[in-house]
Amino acid sequence: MALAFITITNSIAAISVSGVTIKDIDEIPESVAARDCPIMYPEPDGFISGFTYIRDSTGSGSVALATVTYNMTYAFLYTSVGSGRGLFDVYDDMLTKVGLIIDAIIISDGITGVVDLTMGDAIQFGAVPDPAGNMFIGTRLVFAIQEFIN
Amino acid sequence: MATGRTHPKWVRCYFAGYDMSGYARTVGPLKWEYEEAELTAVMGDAVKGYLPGRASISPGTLNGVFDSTATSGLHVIASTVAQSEVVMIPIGIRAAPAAGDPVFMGEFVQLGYHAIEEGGAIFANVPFGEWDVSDLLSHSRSKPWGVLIHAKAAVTAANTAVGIDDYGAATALGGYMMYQVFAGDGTATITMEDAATNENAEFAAITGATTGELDCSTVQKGVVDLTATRDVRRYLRWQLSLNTAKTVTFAIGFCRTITAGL
Repeated sequence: MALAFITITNSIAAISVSGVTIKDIDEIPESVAARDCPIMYPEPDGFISGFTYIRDSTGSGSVALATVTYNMTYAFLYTSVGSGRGLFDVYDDMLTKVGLIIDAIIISDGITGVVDLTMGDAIQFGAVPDPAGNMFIGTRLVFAIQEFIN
Repeated sequence: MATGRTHPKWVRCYFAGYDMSGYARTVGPLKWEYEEAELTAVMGDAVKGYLPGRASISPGTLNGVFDSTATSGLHVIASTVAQSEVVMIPIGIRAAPAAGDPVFMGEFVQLGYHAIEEGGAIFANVPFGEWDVSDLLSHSRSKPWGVLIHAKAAVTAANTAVGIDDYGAATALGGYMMYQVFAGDGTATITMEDAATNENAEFAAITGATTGELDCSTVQKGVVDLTATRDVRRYLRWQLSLNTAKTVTFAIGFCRTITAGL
């Protein structure tokens, strides 16, 4: 059993969250326009972090049973900085959308490739840049992944 | 049914006719062992052996979430101690338990009920003892691991599907089935069938493997023995005969006796 990075990102992209566009690993935007929001995509800067490999049995690497855990970080851009009449004009709906994403992740047992997927790390709302450096209001969401190897 | 490794989130906990999975944090260790026994007189040589056919079997401790929800909360179901409970612990393999998955089961004495505070919430530990000695001795049960024949689900019609191959061959030493009826709206009878070839038309009832008619509008649970020389053909499946019930939600496990005394 090989690591399932791509399969997992495919599965996360297939999750349906009302009003949110979720991008796959091969769909990371070069830059995000205001009309693309709300959008969630794999954060290219430090997408995988906290990688651990724990050997569960004897044997060489190709056959030993092992458990791998790591985090996948996604950027969630709700709207561009400066849109609306003020920050707190958008905060309510942004929180609602993030809640829907987290709900969908928590209840989803259909994420292919993972043994377990839970929310990881703290969620911090604020200014989030897109890959081109344009600033948006949003957050980063960290998904804690567990996989079995072999 | 998949095979291979699995994760604790796919463990389920049924007891006393209730599905406690949503409350269970952990359960175990699921013990099955033969303890050494002193076979000589006091002051004799330290010769030890084991007592054949007398396994030590226990599901350990159910660590759950304290919840006083009427009828179905863990506190309501488990806060009566010192009585036997029919316990089934199906273990799904990287998915919800399905027919053919392993299930640890038995009738165990609930030894206590411990409510504790931990990390800002209230939890409850439910320690189980050994298999109820009266049941164990009268039926010579020595094996807690069977297979799930029907995962918990609502059924509204007779079974015409093919069965499962739990062992790869027929046996002639009986076994036992364990059932839990979680919900229903009338009377029905749950049975088990076997077949030499895995085709719907080939299945026939296993003599003695029946719950008898149950009032499924209240929770039901139990263990049904086959005689010790009962033939059990290779393929197994559940069957439901609806009487006044239109729907029955139940789970069944079956333990085939493969070796006499085990």
